[in-house]
Amino acid sequence: MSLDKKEQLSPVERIKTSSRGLRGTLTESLTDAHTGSLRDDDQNLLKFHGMYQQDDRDRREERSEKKLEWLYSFMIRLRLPGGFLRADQWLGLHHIAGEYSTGTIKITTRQTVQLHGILKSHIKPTIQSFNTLALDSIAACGDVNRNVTCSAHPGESPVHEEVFTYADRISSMALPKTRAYYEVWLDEEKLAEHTEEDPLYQDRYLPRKFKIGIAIPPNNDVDVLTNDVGLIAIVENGELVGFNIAAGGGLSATHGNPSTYPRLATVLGFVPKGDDTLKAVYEIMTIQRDFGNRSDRKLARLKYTIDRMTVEGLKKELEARCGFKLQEARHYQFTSRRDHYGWKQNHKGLWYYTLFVENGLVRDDEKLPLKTAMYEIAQTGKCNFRFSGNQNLILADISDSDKEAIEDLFEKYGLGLHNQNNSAIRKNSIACVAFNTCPLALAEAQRYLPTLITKIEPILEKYQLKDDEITLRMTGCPNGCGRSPAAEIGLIGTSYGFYNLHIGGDRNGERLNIKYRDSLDESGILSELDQLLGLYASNRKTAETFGDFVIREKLVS
Amino acid sequence: MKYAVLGLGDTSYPQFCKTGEDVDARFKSFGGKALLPLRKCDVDYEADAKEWFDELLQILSKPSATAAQPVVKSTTIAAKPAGKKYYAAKVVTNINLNDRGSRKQTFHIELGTSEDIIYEPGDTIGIVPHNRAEVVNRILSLTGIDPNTEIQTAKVKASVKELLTKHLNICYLLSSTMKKYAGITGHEIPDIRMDLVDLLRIYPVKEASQFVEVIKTLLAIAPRLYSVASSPEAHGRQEIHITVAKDRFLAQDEQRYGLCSEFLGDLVVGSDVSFYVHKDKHFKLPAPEKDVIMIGPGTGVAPFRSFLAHRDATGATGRNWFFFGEQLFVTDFLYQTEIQNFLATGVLTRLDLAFSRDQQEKIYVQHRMQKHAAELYQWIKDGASVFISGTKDPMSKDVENCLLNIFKEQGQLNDEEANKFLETLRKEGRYGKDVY
Repeated sequence: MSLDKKEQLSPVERIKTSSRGLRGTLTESLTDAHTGSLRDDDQNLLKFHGMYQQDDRDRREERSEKKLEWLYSFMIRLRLPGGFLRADQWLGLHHIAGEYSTGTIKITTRQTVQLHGILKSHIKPTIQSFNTLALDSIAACGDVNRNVTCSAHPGESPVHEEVFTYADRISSMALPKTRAYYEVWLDEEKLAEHTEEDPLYQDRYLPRKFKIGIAIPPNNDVDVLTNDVGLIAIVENGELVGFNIAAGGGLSATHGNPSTYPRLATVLGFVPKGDDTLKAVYEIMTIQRDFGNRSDRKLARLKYTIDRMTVEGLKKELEARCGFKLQEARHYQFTSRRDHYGWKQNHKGLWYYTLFVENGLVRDDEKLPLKTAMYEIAQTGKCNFRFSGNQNLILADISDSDKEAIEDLFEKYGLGLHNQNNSAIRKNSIACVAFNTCPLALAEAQRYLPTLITKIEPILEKYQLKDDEITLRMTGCPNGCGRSPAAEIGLIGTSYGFYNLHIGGDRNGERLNIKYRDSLDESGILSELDQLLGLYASNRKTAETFGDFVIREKLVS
Repeated sequence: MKYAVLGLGDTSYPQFCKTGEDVDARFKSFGGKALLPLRKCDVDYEADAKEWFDELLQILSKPSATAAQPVVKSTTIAAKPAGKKYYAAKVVTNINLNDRGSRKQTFHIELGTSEDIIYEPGDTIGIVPHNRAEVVNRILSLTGIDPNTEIQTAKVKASVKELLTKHLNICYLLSSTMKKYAGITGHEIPDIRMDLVDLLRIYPVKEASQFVEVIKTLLAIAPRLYSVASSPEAHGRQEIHITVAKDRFLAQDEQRYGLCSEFLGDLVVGSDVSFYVHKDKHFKLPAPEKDVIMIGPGTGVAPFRSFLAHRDATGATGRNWFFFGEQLFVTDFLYQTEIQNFLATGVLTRLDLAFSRDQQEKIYVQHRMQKHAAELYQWIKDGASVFISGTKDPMSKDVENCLLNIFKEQGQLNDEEANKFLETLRKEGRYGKDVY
């Protein structure tokens, strides 16, 4: 029986299944001295190894005139479940960044770090250097489970330590079994004749990326419902009892394709902690593996699979595969999604300092030698480094006696007032990378949002809203890597210099926003926001968020 | 014994026509009688040479001079065109091939003509550069001469400004020119070479009329030769390409610039340039089915771009192996996309690259050659031609030594045998060098 057009597999499927466990011709590609690029199929396989091939989009035209190929480079993203590095690992990361990349350490929106600008000939040394720090990039990208996120504020909950272990356990459980990463980059000898057995991923992996996040209410800093699988920790009488498990989150859409849309995960029920939790997560992955759309990658995420199966259908299949039923979902509440800046102490007396890092970019500039400061702080060995879901840094696990030494270094580098000196809206903003490295970007994000915010701040001043924690997110395209559909104000790029304006998302990550205006340029954005914020300031109810206000007043629907 | 010497030289060298001088002096020392005084020719030799031939034949055809000597018919020589054919061209393209961040600037220049250019891959073109406008203006102001003053020199009549800009060499003057200047101006001048502008500044002329005399002592700007980087079959007959590296060098502890490379690098699209074609018999592609090995780091790539484009356009079946080297892969891979295309279509069978500054240790083309010694030797045994293009010192010497070593290792030859083998290749037209 031949496949009709509808059932034809996406070409990426063939690349995966014929890759001999994700090995492809990566090793050969590295020896192609005439180009800084990998061979076509290998560019795809590379993602599973935690890297993307990129090029400097600003330079394309000029390079072409000079009869030079695109300026290719590679981005590497570490696998850091829950976003945790020891001080010695931070020092190593600092050096690797300086030696092989642009130098900037980018904290991502999923609590890990990535480096850009690595040349093909430097990929191996980079990975080998990370390996000496016991760090890898396996499955940070590609059709696999990505970096597992977990509420990042240990100071906020006595169960944080226990919940945090689930990030690592899930990450390990969902790691590909292939030794390809070790063979290709770390020169491990190929021992087996055949490729490894992988009960979870088989030889075709998942139809698309898969994201898992863990939240500890009342803080939804990881935006847990934007994940394919979200675990919401249920704490009763100070004890972790289990998790509400939600499925089907995913924010990407394609302009002009109404079959695609952003979705927040639906809570399916409650699982007790321990093996049952892991089992449930595992089997949602196997369901997605078996039922997900492998023909049209635009409709391949779990959210679309649920559309076809229905939520009830998914639950039934899940319970069948798990061999147990999901309990009724337990009560939980999110009261914030923001980071709690400054010093916080946990129940054991350890200190945590959350530092605002705009767009997660740890680098030195004229105003703030942030990267140097972090290096010196790491050298003291007095803290660990955590990353929040808002791309900020948390200097963690500082003992009481060491707190002053850290504060002295803040003074030295002018970090003492850094958090306070940045506005509320700036501290509640996220922008994706977009230009110059993302091939999908239609408009600027990371390079532009800070400037735009500087122009929005006076408008907020005018309406006495400067302390309002309005969430504002910008992405260069509708894929939503910067979680723009899940903000009170979302700006989604349509073409260079133009954005759709979305409003009406809630503050805590439980309601998506709605498109309000199409393709605005900067003056359009500012004038629309001026109008909306003016109405908000005049007519809001007490403690009503901007997102809730526009919905209540039916300014958008 | 009667004799006459025509010396062929290049005024950009410190000892212009020294060989001619030595030969003339030697004949004299044997008691020879010069039929004509020594005639020295610059690179642009045809017109001077023709005059010398004509004069000589005049003398030889006189009964008193020739005795039993047969008279060579002058008609066959007179039929040759006087001087070389200059093509009038306009700059069609001028791009710096190196990327931002490179330490070099290498220009790909395309010249367009309205008549067909007679040339083949492997030829070079000669271009007479113009002197820099700022320098000419400075000279004019130092001497106080009216720029429009018309002067008749040995070769041309034109205004002073035009002479200084387009016709006369004003850089790094010959000692003999410096001496003439000293004679005209009455200054005591040390025996070092100088640019005219510095000479005028330090040892000024007393008045503009003295400068007119000085002008008449200046020699013509020597043409500079560039290997052709295009092929008529691939690029059409009314276009010719060259690859020009901006030349920066130290001379007498001073940073100096190559006159012609600066001139060409600064040319804007639409500028007028004239050039002549200098045929090179020894740097030619073999038959289309023969294999070719090309070693051409830096601007040495130029004739090989021409070779590959030609073989691509004509469907030549011979295999092609190219060794290229430069400083940095990201910024200095000259003609990268074209070379990638040649690889993709199969015209380029093998490509080996050496980017010297991409790693701790310096890697050059000869290291790549050594790495593939066995295969390289096999290609040559199977009839391949070998070409080296680019810098003479040290590159071409290092590459040649590498070839000899490969012959010794792979062919179990001793020094003498290896050299003989190379010489045999050269005689067979299978070993060519275009080095500078």
